[in-house]
Amino acid sequence: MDDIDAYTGSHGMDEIALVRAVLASPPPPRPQVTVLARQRLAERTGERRIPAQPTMM
Amino acid sequence: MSETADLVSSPESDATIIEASHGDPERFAAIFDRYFSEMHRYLARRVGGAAADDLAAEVFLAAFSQRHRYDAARECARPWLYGIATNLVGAHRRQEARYLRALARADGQPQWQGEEERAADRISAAAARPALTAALTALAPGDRDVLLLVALADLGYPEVAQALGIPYGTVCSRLNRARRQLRTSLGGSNPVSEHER
Repeated sequence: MDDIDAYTGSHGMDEIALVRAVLASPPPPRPQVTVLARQRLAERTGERRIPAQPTMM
Repeated sequence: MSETADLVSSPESDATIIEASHGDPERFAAIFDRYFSEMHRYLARRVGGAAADDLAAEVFLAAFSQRHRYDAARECARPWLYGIATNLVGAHRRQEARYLRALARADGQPQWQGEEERAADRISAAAARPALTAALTALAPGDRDVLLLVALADLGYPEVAQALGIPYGTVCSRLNRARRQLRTSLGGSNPVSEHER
């Protein structure tokens, strides 16, 4: 039955639910994290208008 | 219907944007805007928030570098990006192991608390956390990657196969093995379902 479950995903998803609950969903990235990541990409793509530097708290 | 209205109602596919970025690299920023938060969330759940800050940025730098290899027949870039993110986790296995150990030691509360989870699930998850994190650590890396792409990224089996570049049947067998190992490590029961009975 395990093999069939794994192939169909039809039931027996408890392990998956538990993993989701234990590795809980985090809050969204902080704005400065997003902007810094975006700046790193902009430098790579040669973007002419680099996104603004975030104000550090 | 006007052309403008068509554009508004039908946003460009990821494949279209990536293809356009070959000649106009700046276009790739739209892929970042669509998926950065999602990739950060996945990585934070795998390696912790601080490491995710850097790795999520790396995902898009790597994706940009590899965009010429993107299969334009695949309209949605999610599996591709999750594959890159998962490969980056693979290069940081020690960080992943450290995060899982820290999570196991956490006293009742995870690093953050998922607001969407029910109180019953939170209590059960806290009870199961040490055993589950130990079991996740003990999984073969490839098995863990498949399990967590299904559990955390919500990818279907074909998408996981695409993300990792492995056959569909391998996804099924790895997931089956991972689930069986988790079940055994948890003593054949699941605290979430036990609690609800």
